[in-house]
Amino acid sequence: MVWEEVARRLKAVAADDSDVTVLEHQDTLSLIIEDEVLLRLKHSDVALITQNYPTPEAEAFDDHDVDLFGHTGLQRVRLCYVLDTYETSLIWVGIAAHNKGKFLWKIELADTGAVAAPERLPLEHPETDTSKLARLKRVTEEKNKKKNEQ
Amino acid sequence: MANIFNHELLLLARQYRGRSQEAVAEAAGLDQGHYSRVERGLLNAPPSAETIRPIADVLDFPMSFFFQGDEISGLPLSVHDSAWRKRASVRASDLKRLHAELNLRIMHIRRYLQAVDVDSERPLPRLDAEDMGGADKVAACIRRAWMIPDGPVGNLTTLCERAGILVIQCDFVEKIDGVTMRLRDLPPLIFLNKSAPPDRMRHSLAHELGHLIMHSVPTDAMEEEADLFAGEFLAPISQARSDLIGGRITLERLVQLKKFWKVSVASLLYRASHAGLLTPNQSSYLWRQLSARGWKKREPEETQFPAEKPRLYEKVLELHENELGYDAQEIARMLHLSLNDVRELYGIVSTDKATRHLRLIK
Repeated sequence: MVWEEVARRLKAVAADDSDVTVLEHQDTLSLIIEDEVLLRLKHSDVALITQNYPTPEAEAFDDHDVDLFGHTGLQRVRLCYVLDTYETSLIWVGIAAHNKGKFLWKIELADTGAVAAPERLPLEHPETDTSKLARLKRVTEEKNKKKNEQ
Repeated sequence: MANIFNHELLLLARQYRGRSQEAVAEAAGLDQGHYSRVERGLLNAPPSAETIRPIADVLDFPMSFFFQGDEISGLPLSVHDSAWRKRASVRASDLKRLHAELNLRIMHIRRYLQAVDVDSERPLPRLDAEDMGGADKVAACIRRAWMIPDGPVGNLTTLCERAGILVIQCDFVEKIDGVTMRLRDLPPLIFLNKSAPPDRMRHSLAHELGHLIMHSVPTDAMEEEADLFAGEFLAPISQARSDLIGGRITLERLVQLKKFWKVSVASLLYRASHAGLLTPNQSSYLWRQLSARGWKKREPEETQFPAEKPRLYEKVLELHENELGYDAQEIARMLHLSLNDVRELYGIVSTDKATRHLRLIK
């Protein structure tokens, strides 16, 4: 049901956009964006590998040396959606690239668009010197001053 | 200094040294029954100096130690029965030693803070996990209140100190990672076991922070809540999830993520399983692997990140040494400790008085 609803909405979006071509296949739906990128809609697990039995067509999709669906020279990526354990809600949506069954990269999609990937190393924040939060009490300072002056 | 002998401090001193009543009484040349009455405050009159002196010598505390008026605090909230019962390996004698050390430390902090003020730059609210919809929601709220950007927490110790918490590293027994104390007359305190590896120490600090914020009375759920708070505070699952999706989750991959998020592999694995990012089979396989490699006890050095060092309490001590010109003898007098203990606890070594110099504060 989720798949059908997503497919229906994607087709509606594509109908309004001349840069998007919809291709319907036996087991899935693909979109060609600006004649450059072929997106294949897939239900995936958290590893972003297809949940379905890998058909020859699905395997061919991951082999970028093989032309597919009669279209040549397209970058092939998957538009993946990941459901929770009980398949009652979406836990992740994004685009993932694979090569011959091996996961390569992913871009998360949110309502607002692509989510920027976090920096791979924590950004160096200027460290606050917390020692400045400790200070002598005024009375102590004065006492100390007098002691030194004696 | 009060002029009244404080028998509770005698009990504390003995427990701190980890000695039995029998051993102390014998070494001090006292009858054990008499010693017991001294320690329990059951004598008709205060004990004489002749009684106290040998005991003080045996326990290596100056006589003045036993004449302080400090109230003794019980074990902290986070060391309540139901949580610690699970750690059956923490012996009763370890808990007594912990109780004694914490109280000694608190007495020292009181003395040190007579001359030094500690400020805070961040709020430290009290929030109820149930009211907020869960400990994870509390963690998210504190991240926002402390204006922590998305991604890993840079230096958790610094954040805690900015909220006015004194973070103090101590030599606890191996099974004790950290404890929290909130006392009427002192800033919030978190004591951490300095021999714990950096990943565990950071989790413990976040866990204790959770106690400080969420718990004022002990409950059965408090340890779980503090753990959830710690996990979500250090690596919010909504952010870490994206790192865990795509490709198989292996221990090697979790090690890479550990370096990024600065949390243990075990914590990442636990949270990934809890968030449904791993099937029960995958989760159980990875836990078995973790266990087989001995990582459940201690994750290897090469996976560790640098340990965080508290600076605030260090500064309080440093102000006494450098600005107020206290030497080891004077600190020993202020804290009512032996020079040995000053060296052991604070690393301050007794030097020749002639080499000491005071700096004029302008």
